[in-house]
Amino acid sequence: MSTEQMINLLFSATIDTLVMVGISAFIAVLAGMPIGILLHISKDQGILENKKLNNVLSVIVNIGRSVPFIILLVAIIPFTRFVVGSSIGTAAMIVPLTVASIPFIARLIEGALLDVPSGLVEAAQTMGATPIQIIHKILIPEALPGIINSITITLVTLVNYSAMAGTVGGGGLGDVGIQHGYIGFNPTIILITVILLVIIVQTIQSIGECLVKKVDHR
Amino acid sequence: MIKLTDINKVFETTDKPVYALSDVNIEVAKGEIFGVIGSSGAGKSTLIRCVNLLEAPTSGSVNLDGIELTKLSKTQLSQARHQIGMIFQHFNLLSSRTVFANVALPLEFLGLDKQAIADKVTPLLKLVGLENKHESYPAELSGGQKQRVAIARALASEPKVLLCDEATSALDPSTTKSILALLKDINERLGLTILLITHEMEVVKNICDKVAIIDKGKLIEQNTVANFFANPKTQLAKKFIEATINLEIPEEYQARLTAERTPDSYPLIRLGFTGNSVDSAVISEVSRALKVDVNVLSADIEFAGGIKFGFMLAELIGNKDNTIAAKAYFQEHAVNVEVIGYVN
Repeated sequence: MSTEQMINLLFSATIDTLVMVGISAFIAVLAGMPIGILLHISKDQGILENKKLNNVLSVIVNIGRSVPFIILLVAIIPFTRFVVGSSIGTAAMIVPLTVASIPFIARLIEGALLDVPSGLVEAAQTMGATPIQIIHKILIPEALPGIINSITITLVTLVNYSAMAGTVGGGGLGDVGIQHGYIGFNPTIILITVILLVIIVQTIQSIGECLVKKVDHR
Repeated sequence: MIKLTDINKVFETTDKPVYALSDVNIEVAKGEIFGVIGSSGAGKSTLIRCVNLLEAPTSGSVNLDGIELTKLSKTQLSQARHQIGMIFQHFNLLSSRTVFANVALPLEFLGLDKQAIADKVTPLLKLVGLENKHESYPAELSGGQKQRVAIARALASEPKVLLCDEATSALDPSTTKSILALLKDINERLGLTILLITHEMEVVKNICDKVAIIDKGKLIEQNTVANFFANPKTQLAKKFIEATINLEIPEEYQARLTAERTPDSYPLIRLGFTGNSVDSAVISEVSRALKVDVNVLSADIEFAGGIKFGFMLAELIGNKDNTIAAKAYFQEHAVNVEVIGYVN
């Protein structure tokens, strides 16, 4: 493989990884955040206490979190095919990545909301706030540092999961590492993919920490 | 303004029900500062939380300015709560919002626009003395300043009533004084009715017009502050009053104290002044008329609710007949006298 070929390969793999991680994280946050909020407010003593809903959601989330990603990847192939029309390729990888990270991020956000002192919610109630106002003006803004942290953790986990994309013929750095590096016996490629992954993870983490610092006034 | 009638609150726990409040009746008139004092666990927090229905009473009526709160729907209750401001022991300010935005919060809940909010928040921050802290975050403020923000926030929706849940308990004595002064000032300036709960007699003494003592979920005594200090009826009331007064026999005297009078010893007495005591210069009168020298060892006389009360520890130096006459003189003037012993 020429150097130019190698650069092209690694460049497109990096893009693939970023696209997979970015899109699935975006959808996962959109879906996981409401679930996390519902988990929190439907809890015992929550602002919209609802034991049934809480139990159902909790079980679903736990199931989602207990299935190993590699099994989930294969198990939901019919669903993936239904959504993107194919079960192979980078686009097909986004579906299982999203499905796996929704319950993950939901639990993390639930945890972040748990850190909001209950006195604040109570104070808002004394001011005549509605549940929607409490979520919008108290819970989310007060838990924002924790929520950003949760998203950061999810992104890093997604980078990790995305390495298994090769299994379904998807691309990305992990796949290049295995196909060209491990199977093609090219240690340089393995090394470079690992370095690139480290850089991606470092960048995500640094941006996350920077944002947390910006919004955290505690 | 606030009328609680036959309030009961029972918490169902797994083993047995806990009666947090039993048949509590309180009436707070408009413009009054009403204090409920009690030890921790007496039920005072539950009581104040029943007023804005943060805790729904098991039975009884909560009437705010003619509106029965327990009968309201959720939406109506949210509306009614705009009329009841509340401040807390731990301030409960939003760390993510500036001082200005914290005070603006209840107005945002009411749906006011930006200009209207600014028009209300600015004078409120001036009122509580934080006009130069608009853009600060709560984490940058001292405890007293945080409580000032909380007070401004509680006043933003122009409530008729302010509830104070141990509002000064997390503050040091001098900050407590300044917050109490602010509350009194607001009470006078805005005619705001205040119901507060506390475990500190200082708070009651400083700003309350009326006081009630709560013990094991029951109101055991209720009176104007002046009458309360003048004639405490229950043991607990006496205990609370005495706790504000610090009067100990000096060690040196303690050692010389005997139970029986000997020819060259003098009685050591404790004088108790209450609201009933005749307001005159009893000490000088005794000295002059009965030729008894009064050597004051320590005294703690305070002024609360317009009356003078307190204790004094003194040695009565004079012959036996005169000192007995002095004792009688004090009693005639409704000053409680207790002979602790005799010192030589």
